[in-house]
Amino acid sequence: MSAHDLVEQAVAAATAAGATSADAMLLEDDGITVLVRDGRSERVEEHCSRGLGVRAYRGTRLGLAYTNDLSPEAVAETARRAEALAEVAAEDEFAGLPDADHIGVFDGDLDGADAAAGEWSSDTWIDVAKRCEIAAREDSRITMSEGARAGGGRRRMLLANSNGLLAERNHSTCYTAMGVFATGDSGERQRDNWSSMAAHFSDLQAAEEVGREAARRAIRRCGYRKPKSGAFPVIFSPEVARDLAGTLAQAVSGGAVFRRATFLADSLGEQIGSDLLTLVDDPTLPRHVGSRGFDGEGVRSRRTVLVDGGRLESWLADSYAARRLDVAPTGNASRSFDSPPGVAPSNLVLMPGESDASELIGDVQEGLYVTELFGMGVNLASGAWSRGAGGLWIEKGELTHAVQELTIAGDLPSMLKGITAVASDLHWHGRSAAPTLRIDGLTIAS
Amino acid sequence: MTPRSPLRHFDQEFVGRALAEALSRGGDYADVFFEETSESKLTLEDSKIRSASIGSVAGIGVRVLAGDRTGYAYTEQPTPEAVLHAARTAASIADDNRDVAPISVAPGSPRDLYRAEVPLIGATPKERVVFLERADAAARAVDPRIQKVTVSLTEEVRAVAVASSDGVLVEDVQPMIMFRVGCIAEDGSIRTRGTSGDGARRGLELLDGDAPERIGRLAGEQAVRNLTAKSAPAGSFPVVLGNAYSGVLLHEAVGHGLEADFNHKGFSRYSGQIGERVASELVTVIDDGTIASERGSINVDDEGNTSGSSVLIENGILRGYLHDKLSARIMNVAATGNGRRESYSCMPMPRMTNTFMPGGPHTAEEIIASVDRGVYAVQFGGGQVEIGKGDFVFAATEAYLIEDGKVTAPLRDVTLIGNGPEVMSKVTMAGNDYRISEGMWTCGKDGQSVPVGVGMPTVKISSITVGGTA
Repeated sequence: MSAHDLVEQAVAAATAAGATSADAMLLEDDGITVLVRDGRSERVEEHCSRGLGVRAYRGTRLGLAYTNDLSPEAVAETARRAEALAEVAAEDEFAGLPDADHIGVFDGDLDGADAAAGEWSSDTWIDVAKRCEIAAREDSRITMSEGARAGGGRRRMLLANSNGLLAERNHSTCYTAMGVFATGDSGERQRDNWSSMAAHFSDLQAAEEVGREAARRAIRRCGYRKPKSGAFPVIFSPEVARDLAGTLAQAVSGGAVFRRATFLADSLGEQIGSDLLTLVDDPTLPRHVGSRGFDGEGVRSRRTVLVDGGRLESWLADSYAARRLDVAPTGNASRSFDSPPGVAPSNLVLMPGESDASELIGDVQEGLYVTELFGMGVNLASGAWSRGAGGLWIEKGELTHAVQELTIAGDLPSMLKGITAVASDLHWHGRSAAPTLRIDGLTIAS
Repeated sequence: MTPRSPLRHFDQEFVGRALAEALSRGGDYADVFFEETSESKLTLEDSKIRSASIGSVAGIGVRVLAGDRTGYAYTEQPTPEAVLHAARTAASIADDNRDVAPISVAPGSPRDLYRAEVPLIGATPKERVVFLERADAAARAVDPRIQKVTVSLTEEVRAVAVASSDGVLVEDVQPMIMFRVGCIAEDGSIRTRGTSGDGARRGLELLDGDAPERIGRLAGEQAVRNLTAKSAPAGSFPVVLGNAYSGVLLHEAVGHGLEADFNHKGFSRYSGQIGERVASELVTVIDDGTIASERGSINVDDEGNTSGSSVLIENGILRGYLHDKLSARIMNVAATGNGRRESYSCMPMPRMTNTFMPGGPHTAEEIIASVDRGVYAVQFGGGQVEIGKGDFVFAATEAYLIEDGKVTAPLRDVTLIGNGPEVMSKVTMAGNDYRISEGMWTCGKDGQSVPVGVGMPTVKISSITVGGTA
């Protein structure tokens, strides 16, 4: 039985068992990853995963079941189990398949799959990883390699529902990542890493560049000091500005809003940040990792401006959150075969501004250029934000020495309003992009 | 439910052939991992069951070692052809060709650490609903300012079997129950959350008695207490860590850095330091996968080793690392039963099980009374460590100010940051109230998640950076 037949059979089996509506999703995921360390391939892993999930409704009561046994008997049994479980759920007026007028596929070529992805082999990735590691070790201050990882694969998703939908998505992704240790003048040892991810091999950052950037980052950490504690301006490098963009996307996610689990729950239409802050979700950008013609429920993809000049314009919503919040779904149902849909961004872009990144640093008398955030100290409900951090100290507009073992803390409402400059240097990594930006009013502790 | 053996599609003779195929390119060790995992989940929101789900996944993973190199492949089709294909793919990490006779494997007898009296994944999930409703009602009864309550019950049965080229064949059926409650409280424009839960390798009897009410109440009370929280201080302060949950400190500051894959490669802050002082004399750290029914316990690890108990740090002196078979071979020591993997699709790595510090001489009251101005951190949202330099963070989700030796105002969420050995050398008091935390923890490493446990007495750290704003 073909994969298309299988998802349609699953829907048919659910409705035959008594479901008033149903959908079924099949995921196929194939790929290879390698790890090269000290010039030798240390690990080679091949993966090939399949999974099928069925959502069955009895009226507005929802049951779910899944399997990775794709025999027609197991798929039919899975559909029957989903239907039987609907009995356990309560009536929920907001539950159900997306409305027909939202179903569809974005009209445009997203070019989400590399035509050569089927020929990617372990040798392809061993070559990439070896070149990456050699470049990373060019500088004699790099004293140890953690290994270069590279890999890629293809992913296909099929979705069918009882309103006649049958749609297919095809993607490829590939990545290169390098971790290195540098040894400083005083014998101190520092580790850092860099990586690149893309849908097409030719869009991947060159293996050598990934290696050299990892080395540059590890070397610049040497000679670190602990900074002073206190309130200082903080310049976020693009890689940590992306972290903030991701937090903001979670805070405007429809699921968090109807659960009252976000500090922005009552702020739609209000000015929530500086007029320099614009955040966009865009699944329609050609050749990007998060691009897609429709979401995990079959809702047509579209570009959504979430925050425009600091004003909160839209929630991110799947069809359930959209009904609860009385808005249109934005095509952000994210779903794997083994769980119900949740809300997640596609490609998330914190839009660039006009200034040069160097000007942002040049304008700071004394402050922090943060290049690393870690830990989980974000409370979306209260807006409390307290993170481990590392970076470089700025004095008189110049980057001076590395700083580590510090925290940066603030609260998200003030941070969003405290964005006082946004640079023009938009950097992409995987599904998100952000430029350098400046936030005033944060507290540094060490 | 009666779990089905993931070996049922194959006989012992075939398993020996698959191992031989895996070694046919010159590998010097191979194992085949069979898994069938079933899970059911109920979620209650707004006082009603919003979704019910059930499912299962199965697969077979083949690993081949050639010196320190690893090849890995898996299949989700339980047929001899598919397993032999995966074996040939994994075998190609070595680049020789040779004939290998079928390997004979004999069943081993694992431990019996799990107590699932009322079997998980019952035929009628409907009778489970009442547990979720009771927790919901208890959380809402705490205070009218509780606006939202989410309750989930997850039941999992993971049936595994491992056959290895050193002749071992073991099977294990691992139950896991998890019950979680999350609350949102609101007062004017202030919004806070509270979370609690429990989990274990037990059956539905985990929810006997008033367990649902107790767990619901804890989440509600935490959310309400946080309504009056004020900003935490910023800078270096003495910090008292409450018992049980603070074990996440050991997990991040010590445990990860002692996983042997980071050490035989020389990556870890603790590499080459066995026998050296890495913590204060008050600190002993043990990783123990054999505590009956705990979330991190296992009868056998995911490469067929019987689980064990390892002293990692003894009175401040580093004693050993956590090993899987690969690291044990490279470092020429015995495996410690810490080779774990998320599923058949992943190769095993050295991982923690239940990591804890036994109790010390002081009472919790004495420890708190010894602090003039500092922080008392009780509940945590998880942490992270940078293995190379040893810097770690962990985020407190319930914490209080200590003023003049007394616990006073609740504090907003705050991150603590420090360096592993430096912070462990500043443990100046340890309480007599050791307890293992409720089973709520999941550890992530290299993209793989495994259930773990943590335990701790109340301890005092004389100084650590507190990431507040005040």
